[in-house]
Amino acid sequence: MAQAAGAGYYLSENIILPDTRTRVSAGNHIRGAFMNRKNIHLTWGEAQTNRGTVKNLALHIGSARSILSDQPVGPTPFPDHTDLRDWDRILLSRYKPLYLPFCDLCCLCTYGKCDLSGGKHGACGITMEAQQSRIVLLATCIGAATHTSHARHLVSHLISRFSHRFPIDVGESTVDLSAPVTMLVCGFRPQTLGDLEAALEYAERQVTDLLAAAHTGQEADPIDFESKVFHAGMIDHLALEIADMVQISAFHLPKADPDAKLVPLGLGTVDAKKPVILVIGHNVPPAIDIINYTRDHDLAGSVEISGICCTAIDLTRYDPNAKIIGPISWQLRYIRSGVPDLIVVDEQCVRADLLDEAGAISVPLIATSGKNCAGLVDRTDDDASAIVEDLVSGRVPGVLLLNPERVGEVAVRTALSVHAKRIKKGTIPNILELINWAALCGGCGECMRTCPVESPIASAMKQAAEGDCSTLAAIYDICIGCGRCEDVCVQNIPVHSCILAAAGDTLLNEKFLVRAGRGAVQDLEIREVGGPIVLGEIPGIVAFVGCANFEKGVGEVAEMAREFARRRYIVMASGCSAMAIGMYRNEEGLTPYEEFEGRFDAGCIVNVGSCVSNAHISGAAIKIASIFAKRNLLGNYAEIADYVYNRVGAVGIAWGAMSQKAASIASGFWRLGIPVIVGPHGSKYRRMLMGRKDKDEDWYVYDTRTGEKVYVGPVPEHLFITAETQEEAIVLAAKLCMRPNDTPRGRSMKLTHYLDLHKRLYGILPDDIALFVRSAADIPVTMKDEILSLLEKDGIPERSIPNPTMIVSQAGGRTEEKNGS
Amino acid sequence: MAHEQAWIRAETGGTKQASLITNPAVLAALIRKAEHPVVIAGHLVVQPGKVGDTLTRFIRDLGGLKIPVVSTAHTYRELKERGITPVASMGVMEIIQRLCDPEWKGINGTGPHDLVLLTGLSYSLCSVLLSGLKQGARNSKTVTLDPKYHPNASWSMPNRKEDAWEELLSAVVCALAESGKGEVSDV
Repeated sequence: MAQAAGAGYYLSENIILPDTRTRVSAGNHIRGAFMNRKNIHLTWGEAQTNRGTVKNLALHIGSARSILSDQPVGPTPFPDHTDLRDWDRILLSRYKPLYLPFCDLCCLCTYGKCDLSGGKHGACGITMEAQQSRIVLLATCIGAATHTSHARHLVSHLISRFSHRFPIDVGESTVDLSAPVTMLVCGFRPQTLGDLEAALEYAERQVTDLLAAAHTGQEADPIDFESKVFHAGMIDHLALEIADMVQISAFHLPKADPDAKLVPLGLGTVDAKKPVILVIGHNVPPAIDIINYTRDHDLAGSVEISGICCTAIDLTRYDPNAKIIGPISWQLRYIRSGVPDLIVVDEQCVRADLLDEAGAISVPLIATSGKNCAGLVDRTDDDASAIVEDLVSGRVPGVLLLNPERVGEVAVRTALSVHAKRIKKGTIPNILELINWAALCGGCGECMRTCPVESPIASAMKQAAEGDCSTLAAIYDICIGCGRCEDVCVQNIPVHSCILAAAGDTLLNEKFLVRAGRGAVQDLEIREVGGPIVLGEIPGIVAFVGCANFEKGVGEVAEMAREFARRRYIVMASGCSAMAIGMYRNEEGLTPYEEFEGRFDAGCIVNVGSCVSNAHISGAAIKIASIFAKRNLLGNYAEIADYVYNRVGAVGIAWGAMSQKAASIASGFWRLGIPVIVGPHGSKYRRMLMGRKDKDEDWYVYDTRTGEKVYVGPVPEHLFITAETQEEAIVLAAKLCMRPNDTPRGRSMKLTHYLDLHKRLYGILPDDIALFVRSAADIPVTMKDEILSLLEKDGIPERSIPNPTMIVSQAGGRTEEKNGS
Repeated sequence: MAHEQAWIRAETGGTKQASLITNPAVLAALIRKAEHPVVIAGHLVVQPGKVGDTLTRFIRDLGGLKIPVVSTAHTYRELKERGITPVASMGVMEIIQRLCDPEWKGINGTGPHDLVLLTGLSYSLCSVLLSGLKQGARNSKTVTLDPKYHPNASWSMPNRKEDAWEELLSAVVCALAESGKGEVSDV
């Protein structure tokens, strides 16, 4: 990267000046970091040079390369995929893809369809392995593009509203390291909204390049595809961070607040007697302008503003009086309840049939994103009163409004009018109607042959026809709300609605609390727990992320989160999983967010926020390397990922991962060396990334103290794996928190949890204990005799604990091998 | 219900569809001829109800054939309580990964498994696992024992009502017992 002018620049917000004798108040001395910047505004109130004085000079520079940080920049600022390919290949040499093709064919070009099964090549020459990795790349590109587009929209919107100089502030005095992912990836520390445009341009270019690699006749090697998947994931986390940073800063969402308010969750928290607006999606500005309109017009409290999915989470970060109804899977059930008077959708994870669903309960729909126009007429520039009239009268089923402020006005006025004239009626049958519907069921079982959770709908219907709705009611708890059962019913029975009917008032009585998304982790919190995490004395960080495609309902996520919080892991949560955790009450009637505190500390549950807040989870791991270990972040990806991989015992559980976004979020964690466990449906992502604990040669690291290669055991054993059951996920997560750097005390503690959980849930001790015991000091005291007897045959090893790295250059270039035992 | 259509209809499989096991002698012959068979028992084997009970009984009845059983997830304890001692407890992804390695010597170290009997897994998960084995373990035949047709297997039980399926499995046990190698256990 080239330097624009001589060394020594000053930066103050967007003011960049050459190193003259010009005084720049509050300027930071910059050395060594360069980046592309656009729209630079220079203003001199008064500049004195050795040739004279200049007053009121303003310059605008379209773009320039400039220096933007006070730290030295590492080797890979703004990396292309190939800049980090070596790091990726280090990981992928341990964690090889296990392919699970969805089908035998490639259908992506007119050469095909090509049958790739049994080792056959496609007409373009591609193999089944490469094709599967290519599909994963496509999925992660879709995910990364979605978050990048989301971030771009937010940045553009907020710059237009607040100016490009609006400062980034995600934690006031508690967060100095406010953009760890951006610093790590791009090599600069953004300070204003305008600073982020360069990062966004970079992300957009990278996603385009990655997508291009998936074209016919481009990339051929499966591992290179996988490396590009990692790159897409890294870009995804960059976009996530940008999106959440700017909305936290501009909308004053909780700023790294461990005591963020408890906010209402569940339909039962909504006052259906009031006008009710339902917002669905992920991009919160239109929903915020709905709130703003009610505030500005003295209507706050008169209108219920409720939401589903991440828009709901972000809305409650803005206004704790807003209501979260539930995860993505609550869309049909809430709408069919008839409670909402208006539906407003933005982008991502919005059902494609909502216009029909809205029509069925006689309420209009407003689409607010160019990415989801829903076939509606763009009325953005029309008179608001005319739009409201058309919506209320039913002349149009909905409108597209691309201006959030316009959405705010039209939505509130429409909801008030619709509510005034509408008798709230849903489409859920009453119990007698349900029994009549059930009587029509011929028991063909087609509903069960499309149900993703294999629920026993047909037999439940048979019982319901005889007046016993208990089995049908029980399906409510595991139903993911896809509604496919209805489409296949040859009798046109509204099966999903019948399930809701059987569950009676369950939906209406859902009243829970969830802690509002707090955003970033404080620097102080990192300082306090960084050491215990790296040394292994806090047994791990377990993050529950992702969608609601659960096989057994939301309860399992809450149970897993509570299990780890009780064991004093740091539990983190985001998105639909954060909601799922909240939809649970313990014996004392407390939700997990009431039961556990929200600090980033052992035994707490930290809700960071929505999907885009996942960047605070990866960001926390990165901040440990910076704040605790004093590693330089700027443009230093491989070294930091190597640090996180070998030292930070973090693992993600995406128990209901469904979307392409979930795939890209996961792949961003993989590149940092953070393993991810998915639920059974996650196997449909087409491949796992798994290690082989039975291959000792795979588990060597370099010891930076000696340069020697030493065996450290399979820690962590896998990078991406499906767990068949909740029990397996719990045991796996405990195991995957082990790292080479664990101290004996830390390893002993991690082993205690792994062995205890294995014994409790599986009924036996695991057969791989010996791989994790490096010396007698690692053996948990409470299980010493039992473990010693198991290890007796081969003896207790005496392996040293290295200062581990996977990167040869970090080890001083020496490559001696040593088995250490 | 059509016997040879994927139970979850969208899981249509690929260019080759599993052969149907409607004749118990077929499955008995597959088991008899296999040199290194293995049973992979998922968590639904120990689920309360007729399907779990039938599968448990069938696996137990195979005991005399010394076919190793690998329990997946948290299934080990309950299998043991039901009289079946798995040779290993592994994650289902882990055993599938090993089976896809042509150099792996099998769960007992005696050689690659030429016959893999899968059972007790949720349908969607089982479907992708079978697909993985189809592509990655080409020297192994796969059989699903659940009463739902799986196109990605080499051989699959048909979609059957539970009673008919139970009869079919019982008949397989009888056929094995009547065969030369049929030392089916009464464990």
